[in-house]
Amino acid sequence: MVTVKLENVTKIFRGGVEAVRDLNLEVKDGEFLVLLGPSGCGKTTTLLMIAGVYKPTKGYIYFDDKIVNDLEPKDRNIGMVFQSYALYPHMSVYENIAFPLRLKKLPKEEIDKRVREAASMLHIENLLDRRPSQLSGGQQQRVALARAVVKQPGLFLMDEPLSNLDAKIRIEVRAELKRLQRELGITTIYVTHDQAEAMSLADRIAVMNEGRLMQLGTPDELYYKPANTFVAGFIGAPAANLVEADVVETERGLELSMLGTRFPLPSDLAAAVQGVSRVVFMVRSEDVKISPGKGFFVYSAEWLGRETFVHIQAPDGTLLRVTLPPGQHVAVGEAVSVSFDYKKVHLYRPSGELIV
Amino acid sequence: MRAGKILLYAAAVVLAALPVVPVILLFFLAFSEHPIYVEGFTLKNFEFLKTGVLFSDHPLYSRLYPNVYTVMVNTFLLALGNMLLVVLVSSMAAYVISRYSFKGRSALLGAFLVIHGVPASVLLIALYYMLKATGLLNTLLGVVLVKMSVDLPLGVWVLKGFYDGIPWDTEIAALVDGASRVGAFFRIMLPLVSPGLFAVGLFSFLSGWGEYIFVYTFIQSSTNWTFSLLIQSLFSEMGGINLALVAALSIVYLIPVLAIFITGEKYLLRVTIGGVKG
Ligand SMILES: Nc1ncnc2c1ncn2[C@@H]1O[C@H](COP(=O)(O)OP(=O)(O)OP(=O)(O)O)[C@@H](O)[C@H]1O
Ligand SMILES: [Mg+2]
Repeated sequence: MVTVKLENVTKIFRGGVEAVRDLNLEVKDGEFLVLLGPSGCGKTTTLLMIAGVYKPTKGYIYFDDKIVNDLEPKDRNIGMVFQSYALYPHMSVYENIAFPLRLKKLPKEEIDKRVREAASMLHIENLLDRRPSQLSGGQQQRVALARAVVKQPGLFLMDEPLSNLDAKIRIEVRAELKRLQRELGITTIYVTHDQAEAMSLADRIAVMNEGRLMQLGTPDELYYKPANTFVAGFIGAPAANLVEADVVETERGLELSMLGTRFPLPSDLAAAVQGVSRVVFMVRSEDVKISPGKGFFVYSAEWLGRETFVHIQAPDGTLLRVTLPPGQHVAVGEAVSVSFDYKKVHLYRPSGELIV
Repeated sequence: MRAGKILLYAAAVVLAALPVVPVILLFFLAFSEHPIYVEGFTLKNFEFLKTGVLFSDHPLYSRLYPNVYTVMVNTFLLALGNMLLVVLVSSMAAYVISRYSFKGRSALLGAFLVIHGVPASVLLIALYYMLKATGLLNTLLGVVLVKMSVDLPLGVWVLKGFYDGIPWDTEIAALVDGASRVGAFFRIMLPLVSPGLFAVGLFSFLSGWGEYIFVYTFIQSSTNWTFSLLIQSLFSEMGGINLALVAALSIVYLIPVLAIFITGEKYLLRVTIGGVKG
C-alpha cells in the first residue's frame, strides 16, 4: 500500500487560525493509525491536508518517497469516510458505490463486478437500488465504506466515521471496519475524539492538542507511559489523578507534600526529582490502594458490576478517583488511608513534561 | 361562536375569490359580442389567430400593428433568453460565492441586494444610452441583456442558498473519489441544486414573458414588440377601443403562464428557498 509521512506540517487558515503546528508523523505501510484529540485540535485539518483538500502552509507531506503537496485529491488514490456519511443523495446506493469507478472510466462489466464485490463485503447487496435517504445511519455508513473500498485505494482516511451511530450499531460497524482493514491491509488514518474507540482500533495513536502532536505510540505506551500531563489526563477512563505536589526534603529523605498531607518518595523516584521543587503527581485510579485508617474520607461510591469506583476526599478537599479491586467494598463517609503503587506512578514538571 | 365561524369562512371565501374576479371577467369579455360589455358568446375576437393579422377587415389599422405570431415569438425569445442567461450565470456565480472566499465577497453580496432593490425605471436613461452606444437599442438582444442583469441578483441569492445547503463533505467526497473541482460541480453540485435551478429558471422565464417597461423604452419598431407592448398599445389607441380584442389577446398571453404553473406545480412545491428536502 502506501506509507505517509508528514514533515513539519503547519496549517494557518486565512484569518490567522493556526490549526496544525509543526506536525511530524509517519504512518507505516498497512498500519492503522488513529489521530486522537479533543474537539478543535486540528484532526480534521490534518486529514484534509493528507487528502489534498487543504494545502499545508508549511512543511511537506510524502506518500512513500514522493512529495504530494501539490497533488490533486483525485490523483491521490484515497478512500475517505466521513462522520456525515457524505453519500450523494441524488444517486442510488449502486451509483454511489460505482461513482469512483465511473470517474476512472472502467468498463461497465468491471464496474458491476467490483460494486457487487464491495457490497457483499459490507453485507449491503440487498440495498443497492435504494436511495441514501431510505437507509438507516448504520446502513449509510456501510455504503460509504463500500464506496471507499471499491476503488482499491492505497490509503483510507476516516473522520469520526462512527460518531453519528448509536452505541450498539457503532460497535458492530467498528468491528466490521477493523476486519476490513485487516483483510485488505490498507494503510488507514482514523480520526476520533473518543479514546476508547482509539484504544480498540489503533495499531498506534497520535494524540493531538491545540494543533500539536502530544505523543505518538501504541495504546499500551500511551496508557502506561504518557509523555506529558495532557496525554496522562486524556487517555484512560476513568481519567487519571493529576495532583500538584511540592517536593520537600526531610531527614527521612524526599517527600511529596500534596493533598494536605505528605507522602515519602521511594528512592528511585526521589533520585529522579532531585533538585526539582514542584511536580505534578499522576496515578491511575486502579493504582490507588485504600485501607481502613484516617485522614481521607469516602465521598461517593458507584458499583460498576465488577469493581467499585469511588471518590476519596483528601484532607485539603481534593477528590481522588479510585477504582477498587473486585471484592473490596467501602461505605460512603468511611475514614480511610491511601497508598499508591509507586511502580506505576509518574511525575511531571509543572509545565507538563515527563520526569519519570 | 358559530356565527363567528361562518363570518370567518365568508371572509376567507371573499378574499380567495378576489384574485379570480378579473380573470373571470377577462374570460367572459374575450368571448363577448360587444367590444366593451360582456354580451353573448362569439369566437370572433380570436379571429386573429388564423393569420396573426389584427383588424384584418380594417386595412388602415391593420398596418399599424405587427403580426400577432411575430409578437408571440418575440415574447418567447425574450423570456427564453432571459431564463437561459439567468440560469447559466447565476448557477456558476452562486457556486463561487457560496464556496470560495475572496476579497469583496460580502460587499458583492450586499451590492446584489441593493441592486435588486433599485427600481428599474431609475436606470432607464442610463441603460438607454448604454444600449445606444453598443448598437443594441431597438433589438430584442438588448432587452434580454438588460432584463437578465436585473433578474440576476435574485437568482444568485436564491441559488447561493441552495449551494450553502450542500455540506462540504459531499463535495470533498467527490474530489477524493476522483472528480476534479469542475467535475464535482457538474456531477454532484448542479444535480443537487436542480430544484433551485428549476425555480430560478421558471421565475426568470415568467419575468421575461411579462416584461413591459424595458420593451416599451428600448424597442421602437413594431416588429420587435412583445405581448405586453401590443396590449398596451391597443388600449391607448384612438378610434374606438376594442376591449374584447384586448381580452382575447390577454387570454392568449396568459395560456403559457398557466400551462407552466400547472405542469411545474408538483416540482415547485418541493422547493423551499434555501434547499430541498429528501
Ligand atoms: N476552513 C477553516 N477556516 C478557518 N478556520 C478553520 C477552518 N477549518 C477549521 N478551522 C479551525 O481550525 C481549528 C481545527 O479545526 P479542525 O476541524 O481540524 O478540528 P477537529 O480536531 O477536527 O475538531 P472536531 O473534533 O470538532 O471535528 C479549529 O479552531 C477550527 O475553528
Ligand atoms: Mg473534525
